[in-house]
Amino acid sequence: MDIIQITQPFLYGSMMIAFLYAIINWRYIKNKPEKWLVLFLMVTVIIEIIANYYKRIELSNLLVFSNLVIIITNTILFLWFYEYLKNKLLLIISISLAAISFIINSYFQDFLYHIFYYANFAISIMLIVNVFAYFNKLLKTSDVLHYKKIPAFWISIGVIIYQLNLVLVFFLLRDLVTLNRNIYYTIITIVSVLLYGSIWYGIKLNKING
Amino acid sequence: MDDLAITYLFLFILIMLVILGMIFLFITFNNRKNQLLQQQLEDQLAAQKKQYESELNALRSQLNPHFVHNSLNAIQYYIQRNEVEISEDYLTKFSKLMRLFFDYSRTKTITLKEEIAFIKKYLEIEKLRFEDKISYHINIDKSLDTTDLNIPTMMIQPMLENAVNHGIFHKTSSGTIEVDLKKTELDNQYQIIIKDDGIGINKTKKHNKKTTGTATAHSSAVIAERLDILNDSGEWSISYSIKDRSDIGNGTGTIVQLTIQNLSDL
Repeated sequence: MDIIQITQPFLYGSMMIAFLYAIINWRYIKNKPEKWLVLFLMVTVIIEIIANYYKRIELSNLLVFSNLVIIITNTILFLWFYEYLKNKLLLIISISLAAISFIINSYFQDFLYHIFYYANFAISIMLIVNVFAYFNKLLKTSDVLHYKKIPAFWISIGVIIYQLNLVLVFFLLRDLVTLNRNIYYTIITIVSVLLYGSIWYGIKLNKING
Repeated sequence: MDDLAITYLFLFILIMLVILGMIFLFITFNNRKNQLLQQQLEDQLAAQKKQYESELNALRSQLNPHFVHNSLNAIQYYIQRNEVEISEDYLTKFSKLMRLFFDYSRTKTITLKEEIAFIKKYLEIEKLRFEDKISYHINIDKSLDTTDLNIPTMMIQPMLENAVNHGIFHKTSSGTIEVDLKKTELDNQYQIIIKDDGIGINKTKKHNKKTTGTATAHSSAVIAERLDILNDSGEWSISYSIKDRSDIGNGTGTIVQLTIQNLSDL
Protein backbone atom coordinates (compact mmCIF):
# COMPACT_ATOMS: atom_id res chain seq x y z
CA MET A 1 0.00 0.00 0.00
CA ASP A 2 1.37 3.42 -1.04
CA ILE A 3 2.03 5.95 1.76
CA ILE A 4 -0.21 8.46 -0.07
CA GLN A 5 -3.12 6.02 0.17
CA ILE A 6 -2.57 5.88 3.94
CA THR A 7 -2.02 9.59 4.60
CA GLN A 8 -4.64 11.10 2.28
CA PRO A 9 -7.72 9.91 4.23
CA PHE A 10 -6.27 11.61 7.33
CA LEU A 11 -5.46 14.80 5.45
CA TYR A 12 -8.81 15.13 3.62
CA GLY A 13 -10.69 13.70 6.59
CA SER A 14 -9.38 16.35 8.99
CA MET A 15 -10.05 19.04 6.37
CA MET A 16 -13.66 17.89 5.86
CA ILE A 17 -14.32 17.52 9.59
CA ALA A 18 -13.07 21.06 10.25
CA PHE A 19 -15.12 22.43 7.33
CA LEU A 20 -18.36 20.66 8.36
CA TYR A 21 -17.83 21.63 12.01
CA ALA A 22 -17.35 25.26 10.95
CA ILE A 23 -20.58 25.21 8.87
CA ILE A 24 -22.59 23.54 11.64
CA ASN A 25 -21.37 26.15 14.14
CA TRP A 26 -21.60 29.10 11.76
CA ARG A 27 -23.97 30.96 14.12
CA TYR A 28 -21.25 31.10 16.77
CA ILE A 29 -18.58 32.51 14.47
CA LYS A 30 -20.45 34.62 11.92
CA ASN A 31 -19.75 37.82 13.88
CA LYS A 32 -16.20 36.86 14.85
CA PRO A 33 -12.87 36.88 12.99
CA GLU A 34 -13.15 33.09 12.64
CA LYS A 35 -15.79 33.66 9.94
CA TRP A 36 -12.80 34.05 7.58
CA LEU A 37 -11.75 30.50 8.40
CA VAL A 38 -15.02 29.13 7.01
CA LEU A 39 -14.09 30.78 3.73
CA PHE A 40 -10.54 29.44 4.10
CA LEU A 41 -11.83 25.89 4.53
CA MET A 42 -14.46 26.25 1.79
CA VAL A 43 -11.89 27.45 -0.75
CA THR A 44 -9.51 24.64 0.25
CA VAL A 45 -12.21 21.96 -0.03
CA ILE A 46 -13.55 23.19 -3.39
CA ILE A 47 -10.11 23.53 -4.97
CA GLU A 48 -9.04 20.13 -3.63
CA ILE A 49 -12.19 18.52 -5.12
CA ILE A 50 -11.49 20.12 -8.53
CA ALA A 51 -7.77 19.22 -8.29
CA ASN A 52 -8.60 15.61 -7.48
CA TYR A 53 -11.11 15.47 -10.33
CA TYR A 54 -8.47 16.65 -12.82
CA LYS A 55 -5.83 14.38 -11.35
CA ARG A 56 -7.87 11.20 -11.09
CA ILE A 57 -10.54 11.50 -13.82
CA GLU A 58 -8.85 13.65 -16.44
CA LEU A 59 -5.39 12.29 -15.49
CA SER A 60 -4.07 15.82 -15.85
CA ASN A 61 -0.74 16.94 -14.40
CA LEU A 62 -2.00 20.49 -13.74
CA LEU A 63 -0.54 22.00 -10.55
CA VAL A 64 -2.35 25.33 -10.83
CA PHE A 65 -4.70 24.25 -8.03
CA SER A 66 -1.86 24.15 -5.51
CA ASN A 67 -0.89 27.69 -6.53
CA LEU A 68 -4.51 28.84 -6.23
CA VAL A 69 -4.81 27.31 -2.76
CA ILE A 70 -1.56 29.00 -1.70
CA ILE A 71 -2.51 32.51 -2.87
CA ILE A 72 -6.22 32.49 -1.92
CA THR A 73 -6.15 30.68 1.42
CA ASN A 74 -3.11 32.54 2.70
CA THR A 75 -4.65 35.90 1.73
CA ILE A 76 -7.68 34.85 3.78
CA LEU A 77 -5.36 34.04 6.68
CA PHE A 78 -3.79 37.51 6.40
CA LEU A 79 -7.30 38.99 6.66
CA TRP A 80 -8.06 36.80 9.68
CA PHE A 81 -4.89 38.01 11.40
CA TYR A 82 -5.80 41.61 10.54
CA GLU A 83 -9.05 41.22 12.50
CA TYR A 84 -6.96 40.63 15.62
CA LEU A 85 -3.95 42.80 14.95
CA LYS A 86 -5.76 45.77 13.35
CA ASN A 87 -2.47 46.60 11.70
CA LYS A 88 -3.18 47.90 8.19
CA LEU A 89 0.50 48.29 7.35
CA LEU A 90 1.22 44.64 8.12
CA LEU A 91 -1.81 43.54 6.08
CA ILE A 92 -0.77 45.65 3.08
CA ILE A 93 2.86 44.45 3.28
CA SER A 94 1.76 40.81 3.65
CA ILE A 95 -0.66 40.84 0.70
CA SER A 96 1.65 42.97 -1.47
CA LEU A 97 4.59 40.66 -0.82
CA ALA A 98 2.42 37.62 -1.64
CA ALA A 99 1.29 39.22 -4.92
CA ILE A 100 4.77 40.44 -5.87
CA SER A 101 6.37 37.07 -5.09
CA PHE A 102 3.76 35.36 -7.29
CA ILE A 103 4.42 37.77 -10.15
CA ILE A 104 8.21 37.31 -9.87
CA ASN A 105 7.82 33.54 -9.58
CA SER A 106 5.69 33.46 -12.72
CA TYR A 107 8.74 34.70 -14.71
CA PHE A 108 10.68 31.61 -13.74
CA GLN A 109 7.97 28.93 -13.51
CA ASP A 110 4.76 28.02 -15.30
CA PHE A 111 1.75 28.92 -13.17
CA LEU A 112 -0.24 26.00 -14.57
CA TYR A 113 2.25 23.18 -14.23
CA HIS A 114 4.61 24.14 -11.39
CA ILE A 115 4.11 24.82 -7.71
CA PHE A 116 5.39 28.31 -6.90
CA TYR A 117 7.81 27.31 -4.16
CA TYR A 118 9.50 30.69 -3.83
CA ALA A 119 6.24 32.59 -3.59
CA ASN A 120 4.97 30.06 -1.07
CA PHE A 121 8.19 30.53 0.91
CA ALA A 122 7.72 34.33 1.03
CA ILE A 123 4.08 33.94 2.05
CA SER A 124 5.01 31.46 4.79
CA ILE A 125 7.53 33.91 6.20
CA MET A 126 4.89 36.67 6.23
CA LEU A 127 2.43 34.37 7.97
CA ILE A 128 5.04 33.53 10.61
CA VAL A 129 5.59 37.28 11.10
CA ASN A 130 1.82 37.71 11.53
CA VAL A 131 1.72 34.88 14.09
CA PHE A 132 4.56 36.44 16.10
CA ALA A 133 2.91 39.86 15.89
CA TYR A 134 -0.28 38.30 17.23
CA PHE A 135 1.52 36.49 20.07
CA ASN A 136 3.35 39.69 20.93
CA LYS A 137 0.09 41.65 21.04
CA LEU A 138 -1.57 38.97 23.15
CA LEU A 139 1.30 39.00 25.64
CA LYS A 140 0.88 42.74 26.12
CA THR A 141 -2.84 42.60 26.94
CA SER A 142 -4.71 41.24 29.95
CA ASP A 143 -6.23 38.60 27.63
CA VAL A 144 -3.09 36.57 28.34
CA LEU A 145 -4.68 35.70 31.69
CA HIS A 146 -7.00 33.28 29.89
CA TYR A 147 -4.93 32.62 26.77
CA LYS A 148 -5.83 28.92 26.69
CA LYS A 149 -9.46 29.89 26.08
CA ILE A 150 -8.67 32.17 23.15
CA PRO A 151 -9.46 30.57 19.75
CA ALA A 152 -6.88 32.66 17.87
CA PHE A 153 -4.10 31.42 20.17
CA TRP A 154 -4.65 27.77 19.19
CA ILE A 155 -5.28 28.55 15.53
CA SER A 156 -2.05 30.57 15.46
CA ILE A 157 -0.19 27.57 16.90
CA GLY A 158 -1.60 25.42 14.08
CA VAL A 159 -0.60 28.05 11.51
CA ILE A 160 2.93 28.45 12.86
CA ILE A 161 3.62 24.72 13.03
CA TYR A 162 2.32 24.32 9.46
CA GLN A 163 4.25 27.27 8.07
CA LEU A 164 7.49 26.49 9.96
CA ASN A 165 7.43 23.00 8.51
CA LEU A 166 6.81 24.40 5.05
CA VAL A 167 9.74 26.76 5.40
CA LEU A 168 12.15 24.25 6.92
CA VAL A 169 11.17 20.98 5.27
CA PHE A 170 9.87 21.92 1.86
CA PHE A 171 12.05 24.89 1.08
CA LEU A 172 15.28 24.60 3.05
CA LEU A 173 15.56 20.79 3.12
CA ARG A 174 13.52 20.12 -0.03
CA ASP A 175 16.15 18.16 -1.89
CA LEU A 176 16.82 16.00 1.10
CA VAL A 177 13.20 15.27 1.90
CA THR A 178 12.02 14.60 -1.64
CA LEU A 179 14.48 11.74 -1.72
CA ASN A 180 11.99 9.91 0.41
CA ARG A 181 8.34 10.42 -0.58
CA ASN A 182 7.12 8.60 2.51
CA ILE A 183 8.65 11.22 4.79
CA TYR A 184 7.37 14.03 2.55
CA TYR A 185 3.75 12.87 2.70
CA THR A 186 3.89 11.94 6.36
CA ILE A 187 5.04 15.43 7.31
CA ILE A 188 2.50 17.21 5.14
CA THR A 189 -0.27 15.05 6.59
CA ILE A 190 0.78 15.59 10.21
CA VAL A 191 1.08 19.38 9.91
CA SER A 192 -2.16 19.60 7.91
CA VAL A 193 -4.03 17.56 10.52
CA LEU A 194 -2.58 19.86 13.22
CA LEU A 195 -3.67 22.96 11.27
CA TYR A 196 -7.23 21.73 10.65
CA GLY A 197 -7.36 20.38 14.21
CA SER A 198 -6.40 23.79 15.60
CA ILE A 199 -9.10 25.46 13.46
CA TRP A 200 -11.65 22.90 14.69
CA TYR A 201 -10.58 23.56 18.31
CA GLY A 202 -10.70 27.33 17.76
CA ILE A 203 -14.28 27.09 16.51
CA LYS A 204 -15.14 24.82 19.43
CA LEU A 205 -13.79 27.44 21.85
CA ASN A 206 -15.94 30.07 20.12
CA LYS A 207 -18.93 27.83 20.69
CA ILE A 208 -18.00 27.31 24.37
CA ASN A 209 -17.30 31.02 24.94
CA GLY A 210 -20.65 31.80 23.27
CA MET B 1 25.91 8.14 6.74
CA ASP B 2 23.46 7.66 3.86
CA ASP B 3 20.88 10.21 2.71
CA LEU B 4 18.01 8.47 4.44
CA ALA B 5 19.82 8.55 7.78
CA ILE B 6 20.55 12.27 7.32
CA THR B 7 16.90 12.86 6.43
CA TYR B 8 15.74 11.10 9.58
CA LEU B 9 18.27 13.04 11.64
CA PHE B 10 17.02 16.34 10.22
CA LEU B 11 13.44 15.31 10.83
CA PHE B 12 14.24 14.32 14.40
CA ILE B 13 15.88 17.71 14.93
CA LEU B 14 12.87 19.41 13.36
CA ILE B 15 10.41 17.58 15.59
CA MET B 16 12.51 18.43 18.65
CA LEU B 17 12.64 22.06 17.57
CA VAL B 18 8.86 22.20 17.19
CA ILE B 19 8.34 20.56 20.59
CA LEU B 20 10.88 22.84 22.29
CA GLY B 21 9.37 25.85 20.51
CA MET B 22 5.92 24.93 21.83
CA ILE B 23 7.28 24.41 25.36
CA PHE B 24 9.01 27.80 25.17
CA LEU B 25 5.78 29.41 23.90
CA PHE B 26 3.69 28.00 26.73
CA ILE B 27 6.32 28.88 29.34
CA THR B 28 6.41 32.47 28.00
CA PHE B 29 2.62 32.77 28.12
CA ASN B 30 2.41 31.17 31.57
CA ASN B 31 5.12 33.47 32.95
CA ARG B 32 3.37 36.51 31.56
CA LYS B 33 0.07 35.28 32.95
CA ASN B 34 1.59 34.81 36.42
CA GLN B 35 3.28 38.20 36.17
CA LEU B 36 -0.06 39.86 35.36
CA LEU B 37 -1.84 37.95 38.11
CA GLN B 38 0.77 39.06 40.61
CA GLN B 39 0.50 42.63 39.35
CA GLN B 40 -3.28 42.50 39.70
CA LEU B 41 -2.97 41.15 43.23
CA GLU B 42 -0.48 43.84 44.14
CA ASP B 43 -2.80 46.52 42.70
CA GLN B 44 -5.71 45.07 44.64
CA LEU B 45 -3.64 45.00 47.79
CA ALA B 46 -2.49 48.59 47.27
CA ALA B 47 -6.08 49.72 46.66
CA GLN B 48 -7.22 47.89 49.76
CA LYS B 49 -4.41 49.45 51.78
CA LYS B 50 -5.33 52.87 50.46
CA GLN B 51 -8.94 52.27 51.40
CA TYR B 52 -7.89 51.10 54.86
CA GLU B 53 -5.77 54.18 55.33
CA SER B 54 -8.54 56.53 54.29
CA GLU B 55 -10.96 54.72 56.57
CA LEU B 56 -8.46 54.96 59.42
CA ASN B 57 -7.96 58.63 58.71
CA ALA B 58 -11.69 59.17 58.87
CA LEU B 59 -11.96 57.20 62.10
CA ARG B 60 -8.99 58.99 63.66
CA SER B 61 -10.63 62.32 62.87
CA GLN B 62 -13.78 61.48 64.79
CA LEU B 63 -13.15 63.62 67.84
CA ASN B 64 -16.37 63.65 69.71
CA PRO B 65 -18.18 66.94 68.90
CA HIS B 66 -19.65 66.81 72.39
CA PHE B 67 -16.16 67.16 73.84
CA VAL B 68 -15.45 70.31 71.81
CA HIS B 69 -18.87 71.72 72.59
CA ASN B 70 -18.58 70.95 76.33
CA SER B 71 -15.05 72.34 76.55
CA LEU B 72 -16.05 75.59 74.86
CA ASN B 73 -19.11 75.84 77.09
CA ALA B 74 -16.91 75.34 80.15
CA ILE B 75 -14.50 78.06 79.00
CA GLN B 76 -17.48 80.34 78.42
CA TYR B 77 -18.73 79.51 81.91
CA TYR B 78 -15.38 80.49 83.48
CA ILE B 79 -15.26 83.70 81.42
CA GLN B 80 -18.79 84.60 82.52
CA ARG B 81 -17.74 83.99 86.13
CA ASN B 82 -14.82 86.31 85.47
CA GLU B 83 -12.31 83.63 86.40
CA VAL B 84 -9.76 84.87 83.92
CA GLU B 85 -6.85 82.73 85.02
CA ILE B 86 -8.76 79.48 84.89
CA SER B 87 -10.39 80.35 81.57
CA GLU B 88 -7.00 81.33 80.10
CA ASP B 89 -5.43 78.12 81.36
CA TYR B 90 -8.37 76.13 80.01
CA LEU B 91 -8.19 77.85 76.63
CA THR B 92 -4.42 77.30 76.37
CA LYS B 93 -4.75 73.61 77.20
CA PHE B 94 -7.68 73.23 74.85
CA SER B 95 -5.88 74.91 71.94
CA LYS B 96 -2.78 72.77 72.57
CA LEU B 97 -4.90 69.64 72.56
CA MET B 98 -6.63 70.71 69.35
CA ARG B 99 -3.31 71.35 67.70
CA LEU B 100 -2.03 67.94 68.72
CA PHE B 101 -5.30 66.41 67.58
CA PHE B 102 -4.98 67.90 64.09
CA ASP B 103 -1.29 66.95 63.92
CA TYR B 104 -1.93 63.36 64.96
CA SER B 105 -4.96 63.01 62.66
CA ARG B 106 -2.53 62.99 59.76
CA THR B 107 -0.20 60.44 61.34
CA LYS B 108 -0.66 56.70 61.41
CA THR B 109 1.40 56.03 64.49
CA ILE B 110 3.00 57.96 67.31
CA THR B 111 5.27 56.92 70.14
CA LEU B 112 3.74 55.76 73.37
CA LYS B 113 5.31 58.77 75.03
CA GLU B 114 3.45 61.15 72.68
CA GLU B 115 0.19 59.29 73.22
CA ILE B 116 0.62 59.53 77.00
CA ALA B 117 1.30 63.28 76.72
CA PHE B 118 -1.82 63.61 74.55
CA ILE B 119 -4.08 61.79 77.02
CA LYS B 120 -2.64 63.79 79.90
CA LYS B 121 -3.65 67.00 78.12
CA TYR B 122 -7.07 65.58 77.43
CA LEU B 123 -7.60 64.49 81.04
CA GLU B 124 -6.39 67.87 82.30
CA ILE B 125 -9.11 69.58 80.28
CA GLU B 126 -11.73 67.12 81.52
CA LYS B 127 -10.50 67.81 85.06
CA LEU B 128 -11.05 71.52 84.52
CA ARG B 129 -14.49 70.90 83.04
CA PHE B 130 -15.55 68.73 85.96
CA GLU B 131 -13.99 71.11 88.46
CA ASP B 132 -11.72 68.50 89.99
CA LYS B 133 -14.52 65.96 90.28
CA ILE B 134 -12.14 63.76 88.30
CA SER B 135 -8.70 62.59 89.26
CA TYR B 136 -6.44 60.38 87.22
CA HIS B 137 -3.31 58.31 87.55
CA ILE B 138 -1.13 57.10 84.74
CA ASN B 139 1.14 54.25 85.81
CA ILE B 140 3.90 53.31 83.42
CA ASP B 141 5.84 50.08 83.76
CA LYS B 142 9.50 51.00 84.22
CA SER B 143 10.61 48.37 81.77
CA LEU B 144 8.40 49.91 79.08
CA ASP B 145 10.39 52.02 76.62
CA THR B 146 7.78 54.64 75.74
CA THR B 147 10.06 56.47 73.34
CA ASP B 148 10.74 53.34 71.31
CA LEU B 149 7.32 51.72 71.28
CA ASN B 150 4.65 52.93 68.87
CA ILE B 151 0.89 53.04 69.08
CA PRO B 152 -1.81 53.79 66.49
CA THR B 153 -2.56 57.49 66.87
CA MET B 154 -5.18 58.46 69.44
CA MET B 155 -5.98 54.94 70.46
CA ILE B 156 -6.56 55.58 74.17
CA GLN B 157 -8.35 58.94 74.08
CA PRO B 158 -11.77 57.67 72.85
CA MET B 159 -11.73 55.05 75.62
CA LEU B 160 -10.96 57.68 78.22
CA GLU B 161 -13.75 59.81 76.79
CA ASN B 162 -16.15 56.90 77.34
CA ALA B 163 -14.90 56.49 80.90
CA VAL B 164 -15.44 60.20 81.61
CA ASN B 165 -18.75 60.77 79.87
CA HIS B 166 -20.48 57.46 80.52
CA GLY B 167 -18.80 56.24 83.69
CA ILE B 168 -17.86 59.11 85.97
CA PHE B 169 -20.29 61.72 84.60
CA HIS B 170 -23.28 59.81 86.01
CA LYS B 171 -21.63 59.27 89.36
CA THR B 172 -22.68 61.54 92.21
CA SER B 173 -19.31 61.56 94.00
CA SER B 174 -15.90 62.24 92.47
CA GLY B 175 -14.30 59.63 90.26
CA THR B 176 -10.88 58.30 89.42
CA ILE B 177 -9.45 57.03 86.18
CA GLU B 178 -6.42 54.80 86.23
CA VAL B 179 -4.34 54.06 83.20
CA ASP B 180 -1.79 51.26 83.52
CA LEU B 181 0.76 50.60 80.82
CA LYS B 182 2.60 47.32 81.13
CA LYS B 183 5.11 45.43 79.12
CA THR B 184 4.35 41.84 78.19
CA GLU B 185 6.74 38.97 77.55
CA LEU B 186 6.37 39.20 73.77
CA ASP B 187 8.48 41.51 71.64
CA ASN B 188 6.89 44.84 70.72
CA GLN B 189 3.85 44.01 72.82
CA TYR B 190 2.36 45.91 75.73
CA GLN B 191 -0.87 46.15 77.62
CA ILE B 192 -3.01 49.17 78.43
CA ILE B 193 -5.60 48.92 81.17
CA ILE B 194 -8.09 51.75 81.65
CA LYS B 195 -9.99 51.47 84.85
CA ASP B 196 -12.62 53.89 86.13
CA ASP B 197 -14.78 53.79 89.24
CA GLY B 198 -17.85 55.17 87.53
CA ILE B 199 -21.27 53.58 87.29
CA GLY B 200 -20.02 50.74 85.11
CA ILE B 201 -20.92 49.64 81.60
CA ASN B 202 -24.03 47.68 82.67
CA LYS B 203 -25.66 50.70 84.28
CA THR B 204 -24.56 52.92 81.42
CA LYS B 205 -26.34 50.62 78.95
CA LYS B 206 -29.51 50.71 81.07
CA HIS B 207 -29.24 54.48 81.34
CA ASN B 208 -28.79 54.79 77.58
CA LYS B 209 -31.89 52.69 76.96
CA LYS B 210 -33.94 55.02 79.15
CA THR B 211 -32.56 58.16 77.59
CA THR B 212 -32.31 56.71 74.04
CA GLY B 213 -28.63 57.69 74.15
CA THR B 214 -26.52 56.22 71.36
CA ALA B 215 -23.22 57.99 71.98
CA THR B 216 -21.55 55.08 73.83
CA ALA B 217 -22.75 52.57 71.27
CA HIS B 218 -21.47 54.79 68.47
CA SER B 219 -18.06 55.43 70.01
CA SER B 220 -17.68 51.71 70.84
CA ALA B 221 -18.56 50.85 67.25
CA VAL B 222 -15.97 53.34 65.99
CA ILE B 223 -13.33 51.81 68.30
CA ALA B 224 -14.23 48.26 67.22
CA GLU B 225 -14.20 49.22 63.52
CA ARG B 226 -10.83 50.89 63.85
CA LEU B 227 -9.37 47.91 65.68
CA ASP B 228 -10.70 45.56 62.96
CA ILE B 229 -9.04 47.62 60.24
CA LEU B 230 -5.75 47.78 62.18
CA ASN B 231 -5.77 44.01 62.73
CA ASP B 232 -6.65 43.37 59.07
CA SER B 233 -3.76 45.56 57.93
CA GLY B 234 -1.31 42.95 59.23
CA GLU B 235 0.74 45.69 60.86
CA TRP B 236 -0.88 45.39 64.26
CA SER B 237 -2.24 42.71 66.51
CA ILE B 238 -4.64 44.30 68.96
CA SER B 239 -7.00 42.54 71.36
CA TYR B 240 -9.63 44.53 73.19
CA SER B 241 -11.98 43.71 76.03
CA ILE B 242 -14.39 45.79 78.07
CA LYS B 243 -15.91 44.56 81.32
CA ASP B 244 -18.02 45.87 84.12
CA ARG B 245 -15.88 45.67 87.25
CA SER B 246 -18.82 44.40 89.30
CA ASP B 247 -19.04 41.36 87.00
CA ILE B 248 -15.51 40.31 87.94
CA GLY B 249 -15.78 41.22 91.60
CA ASN B 250 -13.46 44.20 91.30
CA GLY B 251 -15.51 47.06 92.75
CA THR B 252 -17.60 49.32 90.52
CA GLY B 253 -16.87 50.92 87.22
CA THR B 254 -15.52 49.73 83.90
CA ILE B 255 -12.26 48.10 82.96
CA VAL B 256 -10.93 48.21 79.43
CA GLN B 257 -7.98 46.07 78.49
CA LEU B 258 -5.96 46.54 75.32
CA THR B 259 -3.08 44.32 74.28
CA ILE B 260 -1.14 45.89 71.44
CA GLN B 261 1.63 44.35 69.38
CA ASN B 262 3.35 46.17 66.54
CA LEU B 263 3.96 43.49 63.92
CA SER B 264 5.58 45.75 61.33
CA ASP B 265 8.71 46.23 63.47
CA LEU B 266 9.19 42.53 64.18
